[in-house]
Amino acid sequence: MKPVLSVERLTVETIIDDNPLVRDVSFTLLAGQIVGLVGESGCGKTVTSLALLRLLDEKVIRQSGQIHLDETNLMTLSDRTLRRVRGGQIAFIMQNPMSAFTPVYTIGHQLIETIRTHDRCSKREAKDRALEALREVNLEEPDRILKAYPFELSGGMLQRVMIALAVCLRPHVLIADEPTTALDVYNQKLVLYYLEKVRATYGTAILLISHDLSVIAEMADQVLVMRHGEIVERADVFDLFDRPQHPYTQRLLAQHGIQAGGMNA
Amino acid sequence: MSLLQMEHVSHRYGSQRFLSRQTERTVLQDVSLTLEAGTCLGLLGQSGAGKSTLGRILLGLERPTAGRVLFEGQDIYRTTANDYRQDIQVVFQDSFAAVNPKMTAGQIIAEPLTNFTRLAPDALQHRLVTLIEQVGLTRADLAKYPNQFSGGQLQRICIARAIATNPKLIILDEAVSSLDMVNKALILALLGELKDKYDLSYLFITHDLQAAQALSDRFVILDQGQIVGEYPTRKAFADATDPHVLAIKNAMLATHPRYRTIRS
Repeated sequence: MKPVLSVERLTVETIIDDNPLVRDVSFTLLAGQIVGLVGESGCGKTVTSLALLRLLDEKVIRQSGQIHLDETNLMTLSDRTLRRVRGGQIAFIMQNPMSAFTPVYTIGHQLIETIRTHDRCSKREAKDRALEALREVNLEEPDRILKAYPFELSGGMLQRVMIALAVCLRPHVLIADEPTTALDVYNQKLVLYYLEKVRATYGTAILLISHDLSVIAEMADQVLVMRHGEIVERADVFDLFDRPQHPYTQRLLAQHGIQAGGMNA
Repeated sequence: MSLLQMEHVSHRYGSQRFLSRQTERTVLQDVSLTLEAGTCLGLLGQSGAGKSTLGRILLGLERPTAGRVLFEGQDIYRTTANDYRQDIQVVFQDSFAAVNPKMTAGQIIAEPLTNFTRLAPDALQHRLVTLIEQVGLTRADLAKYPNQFSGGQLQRICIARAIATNPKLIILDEAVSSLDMVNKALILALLGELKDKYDLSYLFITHDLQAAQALSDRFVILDQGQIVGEYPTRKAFADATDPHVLAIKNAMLATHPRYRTIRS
């Protein structure tokens, strides 16, 4: 099977420092696959995800390597074409849903605007698609949610709205950067459940970034372990949990054991 | 006599929207609970269940619309003595929001000491060093500002501030919820150690089952402002099968891909 997203020797560095933030990162994402990217805070997970969409400020950041989405090379695209790819073919789910929406517009306004930026359709049609997307993540009273402002919804609801927003354009790739970290345990599981539903229904490839190994254990097929900007280990999720090779991975799992001890292990 | 008793406490929040009729919302309804000295009571529940409101009522920040709160037998809303304020301290979830960014760690920890006690400058300094070392930081950290600490370190400073006046009860309102796995385990270990050393009592408000189980001796589940389950021992809680406990247990994620339930 041909990968949907393939990244080769991605390196990200700042113009003032020779020490790269991300060094020689290569991986592929197949349709319907979930690849987990784990590592401690500050290891370069988020920089990697932003680099994939070329969202880093090119005045201060140098980025090299290859990023292929289907047949397109994202590294050579113009800003204009890139804007069509972002949100359309690759969607992004961020950690903090409270700050990912514009506070001054209603949820409906933001959903409809996004749909109409990418697809030519009437407002009415866009609204129907937004309603359908909200229903898909089981949000009650979608009509009321369209009229609501972000602050009127809870964090868990907003994160589900973000999933709805991300999938209503049927992207091939979804990048989820710590999608559950800001949520309480009840909403955490619900959000993961809807991510899985999206994957199963549309065959979306998902890059799931998390420092929480439980999230990875629940969701991932393949896992990349990142440390100081480099991938130190890559493995099938079962292999990684049963037979971690790199000392760093072993340490992460041991720390995980401290917390998880006695629950269902 | 129990350290703390809540008797039939109810609380309503009123809201006044511009040009619209006043609406009221009941957040706690007929809540009664007791906390024995030297124990930790885990208060679990979903967001919006009323957990934090309950904590605020105990701290005297919110006067309940009905019911009584007795601390060592004294009604805290009747007594004119403010002694109980020194005896009940709190640690919040967001450590950065709980401190003044313009104050050094030393000033932050000293604040309750200068409010409640009269210590000579050198005695105060000595106490500060003891306190900061007690929570696993060093004397040099006293001169640092909040932005020079990580979330885990700053939470330790908040804990040092909470134990400064030798309180009897500490309310931990989601005190470990925003920490990563490693810091969470370390802070829980520290709290357990302090509890034994100073014979503290905790009211541990959390939605995190594992954290609650690590520290608590008794458990209470709050749902929509009402107590829906009480478990007098760890074992009773671990064995419980009523729907409220199951809802919490089912929300836990697998620790190994072998046990995963979301991907089938």
